[in-house]
Amino acid sequence: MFIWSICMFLLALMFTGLYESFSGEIDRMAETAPAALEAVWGGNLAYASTPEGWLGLELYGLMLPIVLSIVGVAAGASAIGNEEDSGTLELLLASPISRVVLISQKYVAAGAQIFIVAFSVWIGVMVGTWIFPFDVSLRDVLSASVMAWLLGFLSCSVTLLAQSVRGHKSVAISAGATFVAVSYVADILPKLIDSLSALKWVSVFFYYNGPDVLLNGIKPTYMAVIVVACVLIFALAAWMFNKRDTGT
Amino acid sequence: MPNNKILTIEEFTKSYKDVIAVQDLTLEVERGEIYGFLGPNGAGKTTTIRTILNFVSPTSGNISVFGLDSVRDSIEIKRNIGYLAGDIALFENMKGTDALKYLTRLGKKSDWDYINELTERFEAITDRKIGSLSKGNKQKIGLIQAFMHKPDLIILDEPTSGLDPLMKQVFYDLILEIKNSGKTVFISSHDLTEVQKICDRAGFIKDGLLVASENIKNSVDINLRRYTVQFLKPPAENILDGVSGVTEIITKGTQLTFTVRGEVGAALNAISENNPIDLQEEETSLEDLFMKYYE
Repeated sequence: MFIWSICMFLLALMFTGLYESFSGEIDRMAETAPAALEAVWGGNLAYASTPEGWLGLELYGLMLPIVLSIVGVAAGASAIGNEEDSGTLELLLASPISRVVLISQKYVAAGAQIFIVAFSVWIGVMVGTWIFPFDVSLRDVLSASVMAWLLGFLSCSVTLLAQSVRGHKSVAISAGATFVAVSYVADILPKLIDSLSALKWVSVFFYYNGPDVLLNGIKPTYMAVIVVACVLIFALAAWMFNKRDTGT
Repeated sequence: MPNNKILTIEEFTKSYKDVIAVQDLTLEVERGEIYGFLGPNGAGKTTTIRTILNFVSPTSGNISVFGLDSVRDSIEIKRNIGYLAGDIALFENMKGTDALKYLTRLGKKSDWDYINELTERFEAITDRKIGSLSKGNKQKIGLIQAFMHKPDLIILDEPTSGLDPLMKQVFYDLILEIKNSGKTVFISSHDLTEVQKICDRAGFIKDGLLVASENIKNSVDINLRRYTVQFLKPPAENILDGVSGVTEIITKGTQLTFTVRGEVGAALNAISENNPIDLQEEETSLEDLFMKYYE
């Protein structure tokens, strides 16, 4: 997680540094880019020449959500999966602590790990504004980082649910990765095929929409959808973990 | 009147899909008792222990510890239980001391003077990462964490695995001290000599069924002896028919060999009526008794 944070910090710093060099070419690139490329990038090419648009083009449109999804899946699988795999879960469960408290603490710790990675991007952009001529609203960047964190947290929640149900880390990782992949495809396809536009409602990437948050701020409804999904999925995970046999 | 039943298992059954791990197990362990739980791998010992600790739920039946329900009152129960898992897994990246502190923070309120005393007695290495320790040294830390909060019930699964003979003796001494202070110990083990040495009673489990529960130290039922008797002329084949506790009767010419479990008086009386000229007794070990249950 430390390495992910450093990498994302440096990546964000690099993006702020490259803005000035590329600013002259962004408009031309935006005019010639095909719709499919825009869909994959995740940003809004119409605003690509602004600092917010530039960050949304690739960093918040593609890299950060993918990285935080991966980090989320890893954190969700490890939360109790590491203890189950190593056998130390028995040692914890032999202590006078309820399973719900245990999984809650692990969930909060996983969320903190994901937050550190998301926050490191914001730190990178902030440092970039000190070093380079990159004038961006740090509040909006923080908002986009928070939404990216929630996206990662939802991936973490789904993975944790799978771990709680089955007790196998490999199964949990597969479930989390499938969730991320299906969500990503469900976000891209509606941008390319009009008849599939309803598909976007099932994608967490749609509710995340970091590039839009950079330009227009957080949409409370979208944020609430992810938060509620996290809460419900975690509640289910805690319930399943509480009733499941362990160490079998 | 205080309840002397520390552990009560009533008609406990645990099954996984079509496999029955433990079936209709009923036993009681009283305060101050050291109870040995014996059986081969896969007999259901660990499943029983895991159910006592609510790691797994019973399919049917009830388990109560200190008079509390093992599922509903699990947290309350665990405040007063020390547990050592068979093939224990510890936090490999932590030093022994840090692991013990961590477990203390999870609610095992411990006296650090006692932890230091246990560390000294077991000569445990607690200032190195657990991952770098030998199996025996890991086992010592496992034992310390099971004892450190002075619980009323200690559940140990293969506790002396990996310990050298000297440390085994330290463990036996500690167990007897704990017993003398009124605590209760439930030990799962393969080592019958060990059980014979420290346990008051033992339950024998096979294929998920409790086949016997014996008073190890006092009961004559634990006696298992094999006799070889020499007669002047070949004895009648039915000489020991109907004699209680007699099995494995083999007649070869003028020699009769048989096994008696429990009291031997009736068998010896039957023999004496047939003019024996020589009698040899072979005292069998608990291992033999154990195997006998498994036939």
